[in-house]
Amino acid sequence: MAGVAVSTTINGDTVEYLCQPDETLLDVLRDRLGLTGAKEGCGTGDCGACSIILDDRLVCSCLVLGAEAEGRHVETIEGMAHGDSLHPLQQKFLEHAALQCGICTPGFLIAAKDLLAKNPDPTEEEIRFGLAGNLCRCTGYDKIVRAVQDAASVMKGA
Amino acid sequence: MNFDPRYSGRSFTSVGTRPIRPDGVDKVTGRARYGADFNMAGQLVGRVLRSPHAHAKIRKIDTSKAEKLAGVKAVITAADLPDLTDGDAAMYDILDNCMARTKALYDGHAVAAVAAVDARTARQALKLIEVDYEVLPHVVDVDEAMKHTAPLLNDAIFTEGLEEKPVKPSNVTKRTQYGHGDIHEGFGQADFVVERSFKTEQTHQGYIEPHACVASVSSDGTADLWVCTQGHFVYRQHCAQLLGMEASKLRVTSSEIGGGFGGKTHVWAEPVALALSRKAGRPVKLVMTRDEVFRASGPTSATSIDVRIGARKDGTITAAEATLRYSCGPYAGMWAEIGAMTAFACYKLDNVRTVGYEVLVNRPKTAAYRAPSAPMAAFAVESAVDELAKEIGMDPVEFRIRNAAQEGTRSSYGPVYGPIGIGPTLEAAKNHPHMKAPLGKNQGRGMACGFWFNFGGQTCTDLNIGMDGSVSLAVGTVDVGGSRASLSLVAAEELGIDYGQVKAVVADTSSLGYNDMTDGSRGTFSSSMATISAARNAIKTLRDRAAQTWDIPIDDVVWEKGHAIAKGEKYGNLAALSLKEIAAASGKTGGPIAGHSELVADGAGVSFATHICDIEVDPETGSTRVLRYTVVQDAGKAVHPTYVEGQYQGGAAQGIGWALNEEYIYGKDGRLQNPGFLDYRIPVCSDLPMIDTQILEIPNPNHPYGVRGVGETSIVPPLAAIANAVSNAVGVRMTHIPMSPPRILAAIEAER
Amino acid sequence: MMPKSAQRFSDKHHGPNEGLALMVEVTLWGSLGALAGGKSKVEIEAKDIRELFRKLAEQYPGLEPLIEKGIAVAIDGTIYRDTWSKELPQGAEIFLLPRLAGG
Repeated sequence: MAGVAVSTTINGDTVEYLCQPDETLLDVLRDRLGLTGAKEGCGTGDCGACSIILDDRLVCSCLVLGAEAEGRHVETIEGMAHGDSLHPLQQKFLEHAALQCGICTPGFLIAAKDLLAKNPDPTEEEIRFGLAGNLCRCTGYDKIVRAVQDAASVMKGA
Repeated sequence: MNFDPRYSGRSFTSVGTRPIRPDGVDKVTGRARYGADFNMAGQLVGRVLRSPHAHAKIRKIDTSKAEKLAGVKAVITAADLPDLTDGDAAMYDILDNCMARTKALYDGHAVAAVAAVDARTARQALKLIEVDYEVLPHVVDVDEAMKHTAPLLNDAIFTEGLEEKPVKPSNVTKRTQYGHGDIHEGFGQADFVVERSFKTEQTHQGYIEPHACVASVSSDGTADLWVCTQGHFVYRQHCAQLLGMEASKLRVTSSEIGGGFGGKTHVWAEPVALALSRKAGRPVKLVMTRDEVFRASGPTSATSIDVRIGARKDGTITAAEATLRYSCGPYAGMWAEIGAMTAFACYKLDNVRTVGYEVLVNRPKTAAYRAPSAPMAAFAVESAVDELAKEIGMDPVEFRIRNAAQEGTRSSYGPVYGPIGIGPTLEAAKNHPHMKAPLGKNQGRGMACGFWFNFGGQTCTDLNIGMDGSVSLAVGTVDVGGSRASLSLVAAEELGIDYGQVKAVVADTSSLGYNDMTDGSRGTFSSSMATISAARNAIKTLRDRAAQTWDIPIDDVVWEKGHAIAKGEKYGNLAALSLKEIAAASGKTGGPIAGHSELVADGAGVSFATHICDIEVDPETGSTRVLRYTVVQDAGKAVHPTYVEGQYQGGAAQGIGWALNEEYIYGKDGRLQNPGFLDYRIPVCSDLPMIDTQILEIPNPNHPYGVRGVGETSIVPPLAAIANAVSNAVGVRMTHIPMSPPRILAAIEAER
Repeated sequence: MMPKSAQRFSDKHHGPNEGLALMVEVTLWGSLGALAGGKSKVEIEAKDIRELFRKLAEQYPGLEPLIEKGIAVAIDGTIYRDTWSKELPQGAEIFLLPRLAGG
């Protein structure tokens, strides 16, 4: 199978790659570009561990083809911090111990960032439904919800 | 053990605080490397061919077409993993489970594997492997499998533990019995007796990270294995034995682990990856798909349990009995036995008897799942206890308090308890505001107790002090939920330095002595004991170096708050030496300063919890909603309270999923019908409320800081607490877990 | 080299019965009892876990495979898994249990 040449923007940088037409964007990120922050928990769009933002839209990168990224803007967990200063969500996840094993954390952070971009002042219920596409098996979500609430209030103040 | 493990009742500076975990930044920036995040040059992609049949004889496997496909570098079958287990039946079962030898024993059982240049080629190669199966009758239900007419999984199995030696083979591998007193006499004294039968369905740990490893076997016989595991030292032993290697030639590195909960205590694909690498002469990366994780890793048992409990009018239990049947998958296990041991562990009973039956079925091999076997037994017992309280007319909490085990009680599994927390958790629950909160229409409140043993085990820790005074702590238990933070706190506490001066890592198998599996809630318990011991050994050296510096006897030097202090008025002119100062001079006073510890951490304190929950049931649809949930549990001493809370909340959430939703559903063909997160639905954020926690601290007398394991007990009460809440909400006793909407509707309709 | 506190601890536990084997009563759980000729309690002269296991295996050969596989010993309620050198204090309650799996 011939490769597809793709030119895209990832975390603000122009990136070019060749991928197979049936290759997922998740596989491209992880296996071709070394961006392993997005995780494959299911490969069927059920767990959200591979969440990325594609042109301002939260998607599971396991459900997007690598070829579909052509000419678009991709945002992954690797682009969330600015230099050595963490995004408020990252900081609050640490402070609230909103992670145990941490495998779901990149996906939750991306989903929470997308949520707060669209709704800067969410209720607990809105946070819970906003993050319902991401599975966490360790925390029972309590500390994740609190971290997002805390980050939202910090970001509003900023 | 040259170390005093007894609780000393000391006060703490670092332990009990809540700092940010040392591995935190890597985990929020995507830098942390899990099983599938590691690659080696020239690495191939491994994939496994799995049986589509629940039970089938493997007549022949033809791999020739697959081998000829361009890009395929190795194809293996059981023939490439010869039996080197030398009569070790447990190891043989592990080998057979990794790669079926003569029969496929469940849907998903591995029968062959390939290594190819890329995933697509590997997938194509699997399709070219021809397996000639003779499909056999199968059985997946635990009660069906016990019938003498059931298809036999293994005709060499004769039930152990029967009074008379059986003459016919059976799917029941073993009968076990626990208890004391005379239950017939006990039931004779009872004014009320409740007798009920319960079932629970099979569930999966549901860790979000699928099993993943990278194996690299060199032609000189050495090998490296990068893998997500709860016990890299045990994986090394098992893999080395199955592949005929010397353990020291196989270096196993434990990656960050994306959840385990018991499911990553067994090897599955790792020996296969090593065998592929050995045959191909190149590194092989093998990552399970989610479908494979469900079909072919190790879920928990499905169970069928009968319970009978009798009590006097005054609320004293006079006798308790349970018969527990647990599925083991196709290989012998001790799951019912653990259920039999834990079932009545919360209570003070004069007459108790439990009988367990281990049952083989055509399902994947049962693995540990967080306090394995205890939640199902607690569901049955705590449901019956609630019923009995109702019949007597007592409040269920009061009834439990009256019968709770205490220090000096003979446990239902034998030994006599030391100081324990069941009574205090019940008292705390009784006084919790949750108990008094009003309930609305179609809402019910339930509570239940739970017990888990907690383990210790072999543990090895190294503590190295750098010349700048910073401390590297190398531990051999895997960090499954924040233990690098808790162990750094312990090292800081013992040395009298700041938490930030300590950096904890999980060392690979070539860098540290053997450590048992990180199971049984032992991570922080065992490794903190070894860390304390290692730190005390380092302090001995630090004192010695200070004594040398001052040219005084070591016995005149004490260690206080991170400093060596010359004791006594005659040394009044000697200024205290900090750890940093002693470390800086170490090159001149005898070289590197380190403390090591190798020990068997015994005396893990048993742990108890009481949970309260409120559930609302929609009587039209049978759907449920968890309104409020409270966990009260004894931690002994919470080293990092935030992560202790996290363990309580996480266990409760898993229990909620188990109670209300999760189950393995098999078709008539014996194939798993829901091997994915869409159809095997674990709780999502919008399913749950905040989960309140209350940490009690009843010190474990066998740990210097009083620490008990905290990881597992929190999954024991939820099934029963939720079943009691749902039963109270709908007015019908729920006896089958999960209480999915169709089951609740059926129960309501049966009552109408 | 032991820290002082540990030395005191060890001394205390070596105490009066150092090196002296005592008759101890050992309780066997159900399926173990069947392998020891149907006895639920046996008396063994042993000073530590190592000697207990050795003599149990000698006197009740049916128990040997289980001891090989791994048995836990509860001494006064505390469970020991691998500590052969653990001494059996006089009058202690000794209970044999299977080794368990955990999550």
